[in-house]
Amino acid sequence: MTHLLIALGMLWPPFTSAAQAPSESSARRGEQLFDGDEPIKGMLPGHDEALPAFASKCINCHRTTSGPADSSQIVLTRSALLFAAPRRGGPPSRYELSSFCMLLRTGIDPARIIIVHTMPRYDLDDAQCLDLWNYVILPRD
Amino acid sequence: MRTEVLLARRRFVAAMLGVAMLPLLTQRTRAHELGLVDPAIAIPRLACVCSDGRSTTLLELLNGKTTAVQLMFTGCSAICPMQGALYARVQSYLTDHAKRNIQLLSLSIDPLSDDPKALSGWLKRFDAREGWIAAAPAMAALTQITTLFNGRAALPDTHSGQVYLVRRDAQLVWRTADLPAPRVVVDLLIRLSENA
Repeated sequence: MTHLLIALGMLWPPFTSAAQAPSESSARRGEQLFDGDEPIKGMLPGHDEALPAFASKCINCHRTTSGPADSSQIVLTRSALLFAAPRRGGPPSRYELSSFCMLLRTGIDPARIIIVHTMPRYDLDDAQCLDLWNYVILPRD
Repeated sequence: MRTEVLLARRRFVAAMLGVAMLPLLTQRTRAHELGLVDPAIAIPRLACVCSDGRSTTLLELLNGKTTAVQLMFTGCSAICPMQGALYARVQSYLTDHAKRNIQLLSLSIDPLSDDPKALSGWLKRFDAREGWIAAAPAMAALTQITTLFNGRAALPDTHSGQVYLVRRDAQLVWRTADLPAPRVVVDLLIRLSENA
């Protein structure tokens, strides 16, 4: 029984960090994408042209640390993403790499709810998305 | 440190306005919040300061020109850069705006921080050309301005990326969706300037 619990625990994403620790270089590239030092092409729904990179940086609206700050910034931390929580009025959901990338590209969250119109949809390749994911899920708390 | 001071100031303004607007929050919305504003709403004579330091009124700024108005503030890093980029694109499409008597107005909802220097910096940041102006209302006029354009009482921190279309006779006649496509704003401005 104990072995079974340990095995299940290891399968649960939040506790697999030791085995799947993001590479430092990938997280560093992710930080550059997040901060806008490395531009990503983002477009608002219904628009036919990409926004200038400075207007669609992740850091404009999000932060990767919890704690007091501008309340308008949405927190993207390991715990906020990996633990099941109700989002946008939907059932509890958690992110994994594929659902994170799907949201960035299509605006659909893990509970199949469309996010706000004012967040750009991004033209990211798989490597960029992985780098960004590795950066936002870095243990910081 | 500067960010903390700005945030504290904004919270103070929001708190003051929250108290001032409590009676308004219970009132019925007096117009559509999206699309056609029917009946059109006359722009009042509210005190404003322009990016060039000139003191004027909102009515004077809008009277005689077909205008797209956006609510913004220069210290906003979230939606405002996209609003600025939107106007930059709109302006690039409006090659004959002067002939058509069309203008774009970035109207600040943070009069404590957005002095003429900050407003000039906003215009410069987006390479604004002639025909794109920026202004901030007097503190006393802020509640009326946000209520007028939003169609309801709203705290300044919750401003949207909508564009508000004002006819040449200074009547608010249209509210777009949040962050509309630039072509949509251009089409509305041109149609409005032709029908005014």
